[in-house]
Amino acid sequence: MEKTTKSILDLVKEIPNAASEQGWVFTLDKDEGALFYGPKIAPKDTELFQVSDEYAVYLDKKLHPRGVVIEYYANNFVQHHQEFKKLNQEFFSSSKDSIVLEPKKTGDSAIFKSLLEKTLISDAVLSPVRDEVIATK
Amino acid sequence: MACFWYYSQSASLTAAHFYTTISMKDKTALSTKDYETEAVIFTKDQLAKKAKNRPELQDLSFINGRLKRAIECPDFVYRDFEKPNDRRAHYLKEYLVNGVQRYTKVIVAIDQKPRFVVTAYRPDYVKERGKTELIYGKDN
Repeated sequence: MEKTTKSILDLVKEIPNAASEQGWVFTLDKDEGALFYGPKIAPKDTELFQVSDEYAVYLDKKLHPRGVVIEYYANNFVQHHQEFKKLNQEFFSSSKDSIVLEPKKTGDSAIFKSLLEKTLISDAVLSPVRDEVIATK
Repeated sequence: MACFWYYSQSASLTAAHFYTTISMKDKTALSTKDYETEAVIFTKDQLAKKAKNRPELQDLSFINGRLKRAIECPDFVYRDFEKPNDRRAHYLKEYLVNGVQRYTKVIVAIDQKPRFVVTAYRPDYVKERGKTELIYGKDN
């Protein structure tokens, strides 16, 4: 059985480029309480790997990131990261069950994108649930 | 309830084929009973909503296989983190690779009848461990 390994930090650092290249969007699913950061339709043939207690990433078979999931976003993640509170109210205060935000290159959505990507990396540094991920073929 | 393992022989579907397939007249993607013999349904509307962000739900063999079994015969069940009185997190152990356990997780809303599936996916982590009450089975 062939094994591929990658450090958690290395894969999380790939997220900003992957997001720009693949046109990732933010989808807040209020019903589920989760924030998804990924393509509008999640690609198949990916597996979910937990990075920290706050979030997990979908990785393809070559261990490249194809999406991020923050479970219990409003009731857990934002409580632990108060810097998101104001932007969160700006973008996600609608009463709709599902809100999609397409980040722009400038403005508050760009700030939100940058802040989130930095927070994902700092969480992976400060409180990873494991040091590396392993895929087997 | 007798718990026995089986797999649907359904092939994995492409996303386009998937959305075509689930738009059939029948409104229920899955109908079964949970470990308390309460009826549980997974509607096609709910499935279509959730499958956009949960690639596991684009595979009909997952829905008729592991997801169904996680409802009927979970290894353990926690109260949901966000809505502890209204929802439950069912976990079914899948396999252990390199010391990491993978699960099928199904969130079931229990505040109405029939109970219904909110979402499902395949994590390698138990988010509720140490945070909410374990109400069925053993998490070890």
